[in-house]
Amino acid sequence: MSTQDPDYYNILGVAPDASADDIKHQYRRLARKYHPDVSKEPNAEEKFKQVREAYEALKNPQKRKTYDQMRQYQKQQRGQRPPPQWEFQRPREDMEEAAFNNTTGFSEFFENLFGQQAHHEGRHGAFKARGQDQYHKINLSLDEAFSGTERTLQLQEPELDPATGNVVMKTRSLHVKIPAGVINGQQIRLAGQGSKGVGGAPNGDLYLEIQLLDHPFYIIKNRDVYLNLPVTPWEAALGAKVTAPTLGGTVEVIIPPNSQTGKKLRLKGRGFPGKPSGDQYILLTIYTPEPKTAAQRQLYEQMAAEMRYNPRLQLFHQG
Amino acid sequence: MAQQKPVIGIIVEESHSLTLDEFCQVVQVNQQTIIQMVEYQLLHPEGDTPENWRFNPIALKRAKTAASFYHDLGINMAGVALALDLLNQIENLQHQVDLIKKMPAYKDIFND
Repeated sequence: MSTQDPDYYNILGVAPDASADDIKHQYRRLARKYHPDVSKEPNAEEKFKQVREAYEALKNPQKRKTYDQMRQYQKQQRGQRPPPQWEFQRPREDMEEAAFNNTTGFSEFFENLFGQQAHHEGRHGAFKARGQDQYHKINLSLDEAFSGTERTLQLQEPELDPATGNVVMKTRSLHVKIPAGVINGQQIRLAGQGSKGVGGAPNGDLYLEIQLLDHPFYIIKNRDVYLNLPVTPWEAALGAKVTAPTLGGTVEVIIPPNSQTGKKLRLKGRGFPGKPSGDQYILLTIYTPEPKTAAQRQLYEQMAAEMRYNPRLQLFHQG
Repeated sequence: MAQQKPVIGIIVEESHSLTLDEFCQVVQVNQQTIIQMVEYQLLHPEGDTPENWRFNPIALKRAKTAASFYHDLGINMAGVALALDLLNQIENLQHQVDLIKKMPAYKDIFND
């Protein structure tokens, strides 16, 4: 095999003479392990794609036969790929199986061996099909998502090279504008920016799925923003007006008297913009300053004498 | 190099509701699979019959995950429904953990 071509048996961790059951079993195990919606593995998405591609090639006996012929050819020709006119049995696509055949992101090797677009274009001049929709994840910082931003994406897509008849992976660069106020998991549709249609049919759409990066102190839930705000014991006890950061800039917040750690304050409409906009929640955390001088120590001692406060009382009075 | 003119995207979740056909096209599954998802209450379209169903685009992500569990992992629809409910619970718990992690008093608990 040429070095950059994927070894499907190796990816699934099965022997080249593995039974169909073994292949299925091993695929299920790896697909569960790397499924991007549940996996915590690094590069889960990339690995999941490879595993799906390998299984897509090996689960169907005809496709597997084609792949085995290709392996055999490459072994004999020291890694050379066969020319496009090389005749081997191309599999027929099983129409029922093809109902969920999102091959977006599969390798150039796969597209050349099994890709439908190339076959259709090569074999039926009048064939028409809308281009496939493409999906792409995009990572944004909270600030970028809040204010909107622009990005240049590098998209890999299979294309038929008219000179050789081979499918090659072309990189297309696309400059996109992300509207302000996008939130985690949201999708952005760029009409007509997916795979090219065949025979004059319209292009597919490109979908960008937003993934928000972790922020050092904000937490996002839907459109609401949460912030732990440190306060001093006297601010919490006596009430105070303090400044607090929000994604839209600094605001003044009133701390009500007799506040405790964990008290939640709501800043209406200060979350992510939208219809309706989210809120920002402030969770108070009381910080106790260390007494560093004799005078400071005396203040604490005075409080101990005056306050007569036991926060542990409820731990000893059950029911 | 001259800067390309930016392509402006629309937020799918804020666009109009989708018919069964449109919804199937975006999720890339056949109608039968979507009908099953509705039967198992994974999706809650408005309208009383499949011809009249209107899907909220917010459900697209959920439907895609469900379709991938169903086809790629070979889980039946009842299992998919359970997996999605559990994922939802994990998401809520993760949110609470994230909040606690950012409280200085508790952040050391999660250092390991």
